[in-house]
Amino acid sequence: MRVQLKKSDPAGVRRALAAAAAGLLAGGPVRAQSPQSDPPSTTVDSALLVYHEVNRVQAIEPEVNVSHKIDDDRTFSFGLAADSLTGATPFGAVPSTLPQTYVRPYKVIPLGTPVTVTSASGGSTVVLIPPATGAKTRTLGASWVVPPGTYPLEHGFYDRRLAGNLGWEQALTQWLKLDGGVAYSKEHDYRSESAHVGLARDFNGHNTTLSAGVNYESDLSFPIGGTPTPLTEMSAQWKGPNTSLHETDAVLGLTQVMNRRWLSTLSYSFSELHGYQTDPYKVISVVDPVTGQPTQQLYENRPDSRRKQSIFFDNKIHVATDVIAASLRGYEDDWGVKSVTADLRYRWQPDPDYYVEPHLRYYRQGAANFFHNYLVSGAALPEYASADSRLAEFHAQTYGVKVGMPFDETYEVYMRVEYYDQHGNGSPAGAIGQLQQQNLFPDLKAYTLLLGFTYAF
Amino acid sequence: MFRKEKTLKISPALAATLMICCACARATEFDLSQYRGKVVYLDFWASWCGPCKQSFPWLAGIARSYASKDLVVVAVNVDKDRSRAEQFLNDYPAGFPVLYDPAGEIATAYKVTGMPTAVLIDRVGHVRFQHSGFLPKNEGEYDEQLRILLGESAR
Amino acid sequence: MNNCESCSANPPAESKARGWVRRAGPALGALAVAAVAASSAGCATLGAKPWDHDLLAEHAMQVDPYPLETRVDAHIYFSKEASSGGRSFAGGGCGCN
Repeated sequence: MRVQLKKSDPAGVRRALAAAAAGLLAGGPVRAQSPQSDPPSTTVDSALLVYHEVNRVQAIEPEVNVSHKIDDDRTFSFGLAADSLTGATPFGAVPSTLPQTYVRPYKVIPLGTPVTVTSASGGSTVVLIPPATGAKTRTLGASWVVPPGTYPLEHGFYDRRLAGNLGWEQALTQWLKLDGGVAYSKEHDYRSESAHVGLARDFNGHNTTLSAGVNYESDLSFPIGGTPTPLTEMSAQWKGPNTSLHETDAVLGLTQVMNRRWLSTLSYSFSELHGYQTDPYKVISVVDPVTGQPTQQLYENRPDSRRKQSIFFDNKIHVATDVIAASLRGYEDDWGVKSVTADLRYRWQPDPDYYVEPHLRYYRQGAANFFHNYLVSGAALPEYASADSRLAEFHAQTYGVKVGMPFDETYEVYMRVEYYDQHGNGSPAGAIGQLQQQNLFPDLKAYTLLLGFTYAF
Repeated sequence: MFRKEKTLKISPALAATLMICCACARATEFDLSQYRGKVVYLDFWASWCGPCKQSFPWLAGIARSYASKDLVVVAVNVDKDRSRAEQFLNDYPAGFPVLYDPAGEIATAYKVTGMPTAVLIDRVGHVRFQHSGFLPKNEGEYDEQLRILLGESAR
Repeated sequence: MNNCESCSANPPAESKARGWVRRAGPALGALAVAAVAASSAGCATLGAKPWDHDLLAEHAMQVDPYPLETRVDAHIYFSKEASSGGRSFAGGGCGCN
């Protein structure tokens, strides 16, 4: 006999049910049993990043994130991150065959205070700036000399940042999920606050997910030495007031299960930024039109509006017991920057207890339309100009390997080492005079070590 | 094996013997007909299904409480890897029969649309309720449906 | 929740979603259906059966399996490159509930 459905059943199916391997696991006399373990409801994720640029910046960044499930359909999370950066960094000035002296604001002290300190951080010398008549304070500057043929770096670069975030995720229906959160970040010269909210809707038996999210961020910049007037000469004078920046982002995503072994995500994101986006510590060199020697260092200037767009295509493919993660991102903005990012990871996991995951990332970007290696004396000053290599044309590769040891769903330990190599055009065509023999792109090589520990209970 | 037994009360020793025999059994037909007159709660589960870890203690509870009222809980496992299912059963003991459906044939026949899925079959063999997903906060609702079906006569 | 074809009893009450959700859900759903239909005809034929989400349930197959690592990387690349990309993180997984 078969299971019979009522006669009015439109399907009218006689359900002959064949089990491929019918098995009976009798529990014996039914007795009260409690599960040996409740599924974990809290996860603590922690990581430590050690970042080291060769001859440049070093940083240490510990991070932690805790997420807790309440009532099975809501999750609350909070995270903290701290980072400490020290070292030296390029600030936009070009190298020269002659020694170069630079100066930046260091401190403001009340007039009459004896000045006993002669050197500032990073080996710079304290210089006294004559006070303005009637002023009650005087400014101390820090000045440093860069020897010939050396790429100019600003030493004594340091920063300490503390960031926190709170998040919430909730299933509204079996198909609809809501998520939201706030974040706050503070460093000694910058503060950022943001909030985001998003919705995700599942279709096709949870095979398709459409998601949309918006993020709003408000930043305040209060640089050491104040905010400089753009395209004025680099000096030790204390500069202008604080500035702000507002950013709105929107993301649309489509995640699709392609088949049992392949998950694909396509997302589009759009950002609008309004406000101060110049780097208050960076300059652009003005050089002699014949010799190419720097004659002036001017503070840079970037537009106060920026519109960014990117498309991101991500794939996770399960192969045997391994997983391939391959993604592609295309980016462009109205500053003229266009970039492409390709990322590939292969998680080799022959055993449930450990995996080895090599990683390759390739990145290529075009320069912003107001990027210049330097300006030429005598030519009209452009409205916007920056020599920041972050806005230059370059390509970068990341080579890494991650090793991890997961244990059930209780904990995981992992370690990742990576090498990042950024390379740009240090000898552009048309370089003037002495600049022809200089490397105009401050090559960047960095090593990172990431240690992680996740615990669920 | 099912055909021999009217009830599921088997001594552990016999159960062990049956388990060994089952391992080498060929595909047989899954037959619910012997449960005619009883209410059947058919539960589709897998070791990788998070909510199943919450449903199992509840299923064990109702299997216990309503056995005297003729409730039969049958869990259908859809794991492709049997050892994962057995590991799950070690951590979340069943206390009710488990069937293995790695090719998803039974799941297809019952048009399972989500994991886990519960199919509630009344005493005359009609599918009356079918739920996709399991939320502990809805246990009261699932319980109510069982009471409706258990309250009916076998006609 | 209840979608069996041979129900004789009244189906149980719909999950009690609040009013604005009931309104927002279908609106987002309509937009979604349009987008999905327009951009990926055949999406409905793609996928895996609900009982075949075993591999998709694995940790490494999630859209963002290591969020802390993602955040650290985003921070590094944001401070060294001109691009910043928003990615969405919803979807995938075991598809349970």
